[in-house]
Amino acid sequence: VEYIRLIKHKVRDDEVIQICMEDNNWIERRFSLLEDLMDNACKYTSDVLVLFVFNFPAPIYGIILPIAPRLPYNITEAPLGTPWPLPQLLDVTDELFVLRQSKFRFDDGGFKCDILEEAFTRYKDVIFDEPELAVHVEYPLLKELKVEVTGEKGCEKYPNSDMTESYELVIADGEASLMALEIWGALRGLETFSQMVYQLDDDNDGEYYINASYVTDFPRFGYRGFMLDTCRHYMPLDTILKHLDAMAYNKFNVFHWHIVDDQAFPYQSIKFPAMSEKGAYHPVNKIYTQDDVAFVVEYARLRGIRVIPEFDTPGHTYSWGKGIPNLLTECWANGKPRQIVYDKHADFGPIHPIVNSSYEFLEDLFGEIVNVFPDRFVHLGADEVSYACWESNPDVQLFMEQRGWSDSEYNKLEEYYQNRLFDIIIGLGSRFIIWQDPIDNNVTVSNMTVVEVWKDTSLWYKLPPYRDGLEKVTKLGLKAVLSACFYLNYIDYGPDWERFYLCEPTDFNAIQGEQITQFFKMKSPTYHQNHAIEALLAEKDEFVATRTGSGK
Amino acid sequence: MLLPRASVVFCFFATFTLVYSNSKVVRYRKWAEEHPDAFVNQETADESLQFSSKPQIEASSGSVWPMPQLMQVQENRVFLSADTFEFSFSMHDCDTLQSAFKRYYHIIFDGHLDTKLKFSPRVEKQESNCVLPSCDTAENTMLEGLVVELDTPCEKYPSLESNETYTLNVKSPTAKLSASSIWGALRGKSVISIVFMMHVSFEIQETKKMLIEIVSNYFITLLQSLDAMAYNKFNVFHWHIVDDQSFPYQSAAFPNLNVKGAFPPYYHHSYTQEDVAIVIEYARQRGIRVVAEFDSPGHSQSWGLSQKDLLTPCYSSGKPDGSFGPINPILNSTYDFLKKFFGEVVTVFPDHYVHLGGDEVSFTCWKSNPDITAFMKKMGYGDDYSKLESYYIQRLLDIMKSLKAGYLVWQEVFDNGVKVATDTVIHTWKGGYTDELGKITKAGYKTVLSSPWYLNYISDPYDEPWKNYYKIDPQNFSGSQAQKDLVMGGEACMWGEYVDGTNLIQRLWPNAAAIGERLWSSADTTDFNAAAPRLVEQRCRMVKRGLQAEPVSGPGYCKYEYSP
Repeated sequence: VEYIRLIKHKVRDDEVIQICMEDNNWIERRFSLLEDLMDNACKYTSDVLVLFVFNFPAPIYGIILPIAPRLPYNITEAPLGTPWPLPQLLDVTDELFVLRQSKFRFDDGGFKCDILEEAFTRYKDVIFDEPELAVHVEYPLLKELKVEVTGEKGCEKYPNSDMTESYELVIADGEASLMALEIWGALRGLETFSQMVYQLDDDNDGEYYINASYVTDFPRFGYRGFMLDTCRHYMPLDTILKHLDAMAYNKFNVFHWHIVDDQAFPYQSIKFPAMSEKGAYHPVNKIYTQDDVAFVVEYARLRGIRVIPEFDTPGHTYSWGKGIPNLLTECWANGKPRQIVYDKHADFGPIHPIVNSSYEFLEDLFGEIVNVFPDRFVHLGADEVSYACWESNPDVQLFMEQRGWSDSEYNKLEEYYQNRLFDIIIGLGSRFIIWQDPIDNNVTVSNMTVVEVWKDTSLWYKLPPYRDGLEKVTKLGLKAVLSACFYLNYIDYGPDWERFYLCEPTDFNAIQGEQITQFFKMKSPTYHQNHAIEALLAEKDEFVATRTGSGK
Repeated sequence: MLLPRASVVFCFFATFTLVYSNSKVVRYRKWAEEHPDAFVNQETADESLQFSSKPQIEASSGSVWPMPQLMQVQENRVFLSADTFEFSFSMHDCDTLQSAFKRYYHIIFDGHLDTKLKFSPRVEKQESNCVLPSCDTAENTMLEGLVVELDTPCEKYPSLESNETYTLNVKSPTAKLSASSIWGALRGKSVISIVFMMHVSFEIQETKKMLIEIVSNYFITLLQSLDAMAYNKFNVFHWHIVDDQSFPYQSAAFPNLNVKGAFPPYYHHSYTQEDVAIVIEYARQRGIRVVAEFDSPGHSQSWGLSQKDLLTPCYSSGKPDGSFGPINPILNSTYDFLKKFFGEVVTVFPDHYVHLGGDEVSFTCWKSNPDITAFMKKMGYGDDYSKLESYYIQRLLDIMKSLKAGYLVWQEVFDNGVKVATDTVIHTWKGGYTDELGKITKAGYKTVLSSPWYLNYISDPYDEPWKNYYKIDPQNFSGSQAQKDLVMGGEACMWGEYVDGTNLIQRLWPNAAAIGERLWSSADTTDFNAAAPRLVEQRCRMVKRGLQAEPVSGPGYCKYEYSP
């Protein structure tokens, strides 16, 4: 049944739903009681339920209307001041301290770093966000949080792929201390600390409390990214900055800025100003200037967030062609160039892969980009390259012939393009991430390539499961980043978060332990002198090893 | 409350925005100097921007949403100046009209009302103040004002009988808006605000009216929602103010209802009498009725938190198990409470109608209770618990009648065969609604349709859900013309399980605008392709007016983007 596209909305067991049966009769059932009808083979979108009833001649289609559950759920309330995401080790006692705005201070222990000082200012505002009403004299006062950054790297300027984010937080005996190897761990620890301070719901008690606690924490993965698309709709700078705040509150550390695409080119290039002048939705109001970009990078840096820009090529570049003549491949039909053929190609296709001018341009543009964006990584896109336009172009056909590539080997042309681009990027001293498509097209890529897996059956029934993508990428010995089960633009009714929460990045068929290792290499080195961390790591490795060994 | 953090953060952002905007202004000026052609007049300015990227659906310009019944637009333009333009009236005047003058003056000349909401760089503001060279020479086509002519004196509150018909004639030097009532004048003015901004001359006749309703939930963005409703010509705010989970309505007669029944702490989660009065007044100024719903006998768990013996105690193994079911229908004290409570409701909410709910009554608890069983036996109901439900509803309706109030009920009341008065309005909400509409109207009842318009069930935006809302015709069911006339209109519903002040507006708008057009415009206004560019424009218009209406037509942009 081809149009079953999404298996997303999980109806809760206690939800009463109405089902329109084939004979137009409506029945109401609790979802948990539907199994007799469904054989667990029910697939549904948010409002259309398709029931497969194997003993029926045809599937039953119907509308599903979840009705609000009658009674509240039996969910135990979380204790106030529980941090999110959950630390690796969190030990909270009942012993209480109170904090007073006027009497609390952060202490840098002599470690001077602008990132830390700015964070102190920020978190003081975050913690003391309500009027204070001191009523409890009996609890001891917590007067300061002592932050200690012990590693050799000191006050690093930019967060990077090698950053260590582990930290240890101790609140005991009226003293709080935060120890981290690097400044980045200190930032994560400050976020945790700020979340552990709480006020009661009672307006007559305006105390800020924190429980005596012990936290040892490090990220499971070193790459915790978030992609925003600022092309399809222009996002005002304020929106992006707010988003960076939200990322920091949730300990994300990579802002993957999908800044341009087919529809618009809002990045204002220094070398090629025509690209945004002609390719943005508006040449002045809908662009990101160099100032804007610098502001975003700085705002992110102070929050320990890397900014990895994506300049997707050779496909997804329609808007580039407006400012750069002869960059895109002209698509042909009926012996004429620049022809739109519906369902096949537009008048222009991907970047022209056979002319040197394309690569000269790319070298210039990326030469600028790697300077504007300080991160060592740049995202090169490389997804969804349609061959239809290349196939239609006589020059491209000739080139293919000269190379001895057959009509079914356009992936070799893609490979040719990609490798020339990779060489450019490597020549610029940068590293890169690409979407998984070249791997799917059996394009051979450099072993430094990091591959972002975005395809999953839940996005479209014709796509392979994300496990296949991860398996293929890691089998090649390449590092992987998973996005396929985290496409937040596809929304659904109800507790939508559960499906994201349950998606396990290592849940794929890894025959050798090596693949998991590859996968984990994007993880920060989290080794800390603290024994607890080492113990936890060992446990985690063992856990992974067990899963790997059993092949699940 | 003074929030130290908030003020600091605000200062930071304010400073930043200022710098940011200034640099944009500088850049814009520079660009403008380099591109003098862009300012010759509006049309060539647009042409000079043609190299810019295009949105998936390009917005129409100066189109009215929902589509008027008849609209003729001529080529010649008139211009408006914020300094000289005047609203005035002939015949009847009233506070509703005057406050509408003020509101629409701001909308037309300022673009948005809510000064709390910032916009990203507004460098083009000068343009809309008419800096075009042609403005200077346009004295003879200047529109000096709008005269509103009401045939009848103003009514204080809109009602089911309100007439919203209007005729608008824009001709230099003065436009004229004629309406048989103040409510029609309000609808006309929302049209004016649209077309005036585009400096277009035209003539409109409005000949048909239809009832429109919208449900919302109990959130602080209520007032914004009322604005959005007015922009889309909705005229009923159905306020589902209480339910199982909480009782936020502050009752004067039973103050414990919200103290014990609202989410804690109750004073942060209640609507006081003053709040309710503000909502009603705000709605009244916009020609919107407020119909309150107090759902019973089911959906009333939160009532029981303060009212002892109001709910039916449920039994297991021969003993009360501590849980409660619907309102207890067999006690006289129940009806004493209801009489007093609804006596208050009909005075607080001025609309003639009260929504009595009546949906999803579960019989399980009633069945478990021995007192109810004895009562069933005494009344000779056998095992038919719908007769008990009927008994309850009957007594409730008698109370409402004694209070001289009209009422709506959800469709179960009708489905369960409860005998209701002929003027009861049945609210259709379940699936299979075409059959249901046929049955209800065949029995001679009036009905309002909501089934296909549950906006809380969001779906994949890539499927463009507005089209599903737009394509519904509430009169498209098998039945006589007389039956179809009994369909009073429709109502968009936004239930609150997953919605609060953070996302109410985005989830509703502009999808609800599709329903707004369905319920206002002629039955043959159904073409998606014709509607899409107009909907894009309507959405951007709402954004410009400070509402976070979400994009629904793929990639694109609004001239003024919303910014947090």
